Amino acid sequence: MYVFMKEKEKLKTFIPQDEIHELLEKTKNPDPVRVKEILAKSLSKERLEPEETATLLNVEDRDLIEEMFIAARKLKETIYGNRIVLFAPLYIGNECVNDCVYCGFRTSNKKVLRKTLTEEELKEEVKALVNKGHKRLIVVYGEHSKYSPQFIAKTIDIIYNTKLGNGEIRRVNVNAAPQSVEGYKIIKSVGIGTFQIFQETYHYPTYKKLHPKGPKSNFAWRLYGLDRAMMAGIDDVGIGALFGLYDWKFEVMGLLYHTIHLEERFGVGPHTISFPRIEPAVNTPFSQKPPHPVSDFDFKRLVSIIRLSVPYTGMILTARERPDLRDEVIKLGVSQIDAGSSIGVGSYSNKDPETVKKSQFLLADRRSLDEVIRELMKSGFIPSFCTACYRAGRTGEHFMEFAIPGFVKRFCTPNAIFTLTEYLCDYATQETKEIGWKLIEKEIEKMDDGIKEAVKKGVERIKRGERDVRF
Amino acid sequence: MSDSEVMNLLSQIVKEGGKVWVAKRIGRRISYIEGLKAGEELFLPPEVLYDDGQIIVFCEGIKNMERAKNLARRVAAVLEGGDQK
Repeated sequence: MYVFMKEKEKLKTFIPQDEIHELLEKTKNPDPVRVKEILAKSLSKERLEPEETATLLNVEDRDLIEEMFIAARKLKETIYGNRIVLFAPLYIGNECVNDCVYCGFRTSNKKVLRKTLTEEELKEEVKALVNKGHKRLIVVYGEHSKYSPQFIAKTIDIIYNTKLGNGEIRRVNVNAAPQSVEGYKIIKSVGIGTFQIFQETYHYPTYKKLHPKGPKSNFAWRLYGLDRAMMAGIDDVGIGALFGLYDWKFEVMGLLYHTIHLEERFGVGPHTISFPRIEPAVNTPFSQKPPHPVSDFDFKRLVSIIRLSVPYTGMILTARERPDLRDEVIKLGVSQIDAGSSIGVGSYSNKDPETVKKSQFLLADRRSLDEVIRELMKSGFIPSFCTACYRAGRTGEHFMEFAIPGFVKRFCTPNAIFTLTEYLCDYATQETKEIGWKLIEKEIEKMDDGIKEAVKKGVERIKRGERDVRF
Repeated sequence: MSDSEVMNLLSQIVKEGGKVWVAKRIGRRISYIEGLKAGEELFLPPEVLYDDGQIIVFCEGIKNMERAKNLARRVAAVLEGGDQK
């Protein structure tokens, strides 16, 4: 398959490189009336077309940009309400055969300590995460023959079967190398959540320059990686770009074209979009000084434009970003964040002084899960560990039926409250509990009479010791 | 498997309103089987009509649960008798 794709690599893909450049050129200095029309379309919850997104990317007027921020905040509130889903990354192994210039795990980086968790170490990591209150993980693997589909499936199975007290991991998302269709089927068989592959950069010449070695050097093999996942029956996939490698406007266009491609080919777009900015990594000069750094202001622009372009796609913001910026950016459209994260291999269960040398990059938000939850609640958000949809057959094409505000009110908000109640009962500090119980009371009071009583009963059941209560 | 047979059974389940959909268990995940649903979304908490560890039939807003459960058993039998999709 790899050899086959190597031959096909130069053929046209669904990322029209020239067309993106032309669109970004053609839509410069946009007419404010046109920009407002596009914002109105977005607020009616329609996915934008490439020309429309390109127009938003070319808005330079500060007042108009502020209008974009306002629209993005409004759209987020309408579709997602005030919930924020929380998860943690769990690095299983950092062996890698690729040589991505910007990455701390690249094969030529001799200063990174290579490590793959043993089964026992993995169980300890999971227990440490469960003990903090986590229910959702993203497991991360380098690209290496050690991390075969069978290995990935086995590690996920171990995670699902590791319990501690009331706690357990209920959803495991995966960030791993692109697989063959057969490989995906093996991974799918253990019941994964989302399979993520980040293209890193959609700009072909930049991609070729930054990925000189290994399977990842093949642009098309990676680009079509999620097509193969969907062909294997994985209906939740996540796309992403690493901002800082090339022009951020081009990358946003790439993410949009990728979304459109999946919608057209499979009838369902990506479940999530990630938009990490490059961060410094051990012995990786490129990461200290990326060629296309994205300022905080432009980062806010790109987040709001992605929100406006794909109203119903989940957006993931990571702990790479500083807490103050995270607080601001969340409001512009983010639906999921990681919290209490540690990205050294084995670093949840061990206070390892060498953690940094086992990490892919460095984190800017080092707050604990409890601190993040407390801060979110102070800002009026409901932290959620909900995993109900994918355990009630509300997945794939069926999930799209629920991407409407009514569903959020009647399902997502109650389920967020239930999982927050579990957290407060089992893991929260006293200070967090006090804020949390007040928030829950306030949120229940806001609910329609039709569901208020059912939610109150659910909360009481949890307080009495029942777990995994959900709608 | 006969898709039309399954769809016919699903239509019978929602004859008097409600919604039904069919999923299969994949490890911890319970995944919707593409195309296998009938009725209108009412935004009620889902109830399980049938669960044999592999196939799960969910419903909401169904009035006659006993009748629906019998029909859901037949849905599973058809699905498990042939191609598992």
